[in-house]
Amino acid sequence: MPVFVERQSQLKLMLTDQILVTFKPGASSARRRKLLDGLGLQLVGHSEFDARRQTLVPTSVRRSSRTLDLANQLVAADDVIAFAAPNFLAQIRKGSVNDPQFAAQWHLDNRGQGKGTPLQDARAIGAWNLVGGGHRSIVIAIIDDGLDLEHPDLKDNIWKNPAARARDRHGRDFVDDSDRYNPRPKVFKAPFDDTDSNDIHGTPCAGVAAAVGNNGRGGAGMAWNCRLMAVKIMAGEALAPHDRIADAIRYAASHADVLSCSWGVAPSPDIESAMTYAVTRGRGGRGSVVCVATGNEHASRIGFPSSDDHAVAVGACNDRGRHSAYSNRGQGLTVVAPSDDDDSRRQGITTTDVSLRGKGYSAGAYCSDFGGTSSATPLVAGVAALVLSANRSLRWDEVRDVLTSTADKIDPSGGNYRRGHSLKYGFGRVNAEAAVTKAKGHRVRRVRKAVKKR
Amino acid sequence: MPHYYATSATPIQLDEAPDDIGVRFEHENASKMAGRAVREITTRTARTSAAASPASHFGRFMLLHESGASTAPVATVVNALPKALASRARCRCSSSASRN
Repeated sequence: MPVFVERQSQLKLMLTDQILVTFKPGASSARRRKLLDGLGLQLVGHSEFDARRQTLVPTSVRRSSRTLDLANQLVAADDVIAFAAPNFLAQIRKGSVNDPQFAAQWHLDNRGQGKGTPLQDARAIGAWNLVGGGHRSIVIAIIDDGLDLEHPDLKDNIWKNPAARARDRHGRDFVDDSDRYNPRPKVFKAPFDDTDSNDIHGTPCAGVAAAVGNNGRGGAGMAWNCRLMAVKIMAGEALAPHDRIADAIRYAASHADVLSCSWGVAPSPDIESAMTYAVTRGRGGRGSVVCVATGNEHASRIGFPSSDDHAVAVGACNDRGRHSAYSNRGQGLTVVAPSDDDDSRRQGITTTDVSLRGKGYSAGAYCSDFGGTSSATPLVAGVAALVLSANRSLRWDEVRDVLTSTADKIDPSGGNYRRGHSLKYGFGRVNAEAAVTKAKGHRVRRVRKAVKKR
Repeated sequence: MPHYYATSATPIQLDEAPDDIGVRFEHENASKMAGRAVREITTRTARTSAAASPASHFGRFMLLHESGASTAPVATVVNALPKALASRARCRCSSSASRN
């Protein structure tokens, strides 16, 4: 089967014998059948979460490696087809990353520790004074490579499915069909701190968003009283089909208020469709807030799916309130949040690590050098959860407006802000205290339609 | 030039990956077979070099990375796979959309 490299992301895509398609609502069944018969395609299934998104395969095995061609022929029938694309197996790029004391968590409360600059943080303490660690009913889905459900600083915040008979007690694994209700990290291979070959990335992300606070143990997450849902889309070095990633987003949006995605893939219309699903169907129609990392490639363009119109695209800044050199820049960047930097003198993020002995970024259950836009993203997801804790009637785009309109315009000279937006910092560094204050008052000036204009 | 489309009908441009080949296993236990192949290839590579694993898989599909793989796909697959799994390697690349 052919393997391609998507030109902008430089990520690999392997062709499969499946095509993902959504028909336009008005397309008659006779017209659909004629189209599929003409191309030698048959329906074999549909998304578990969105029945309109169907899966096709060629009727002849000899045409099984021609799905790119066939999908493009489907797209040409634009009176019938909303979108069609091969169900690629995708290479996923996790963000590059490298104590239990809250005092080390400068990203929440920067008092100049580690030679950082005081107050260059996400203003967590002020937000906590208003809404504590957030409301228990607010759920943040960590869509990643698994979540250590037994971690001592996470377990009390793990989401439990309210449906008593549900088999997905704490989330889902969209990689391993034989163990789909167990979203824990499962793949470990020496060296055990290597992000790409180990399931060790989701647990630190979860801790940044919502590690349990005020429990006399470890550190705290931004939304330390909200709950965490585990949605697994990666396993070691395994590839991930576009339809599984898209369904993971749909699944997460059917339960969670905020989705945190610290990864990037080559563009996919099915994932775009899932992003639309999340903001139109999540939270009873108010829309789930989807926070997505922009990527760590030093690029002048943000990655997909952060570039999607419905994303809160998150970049990174350091402990001195300056742009993290690796953090991708671009028009679609929404906000930045504190993280590490290429400069090793700048501090990383202290958060939870896989608690299995010898596994993870450190030997213990916490690491102090997490970073990248991978770390910035769950921090913003945590702020969004606090905003919703303050005012749960907000729609997803109103939450995004709150985040952008209250963000701090850091580095005003280097940021080159135009109409309030910087290619380096988006609308600025997220400010949890100001965002929660504004959400409580809910006087949101709706001027940010251009947030995602590209 | 190979491409596919975003929902906006914007083309997403692709380049062929010269050093990668996709393998689809056709067997009732294809998924297990692909997993076994990846494990064996990874173990063999680990013995001889410290490089990252040249193989990864999902279900019955395996991605194999080797220099020049796309120009000699059958030979690449046969050489990489354990003998028991490579008895009937066939190329379905001749009509690949990447050539259009």
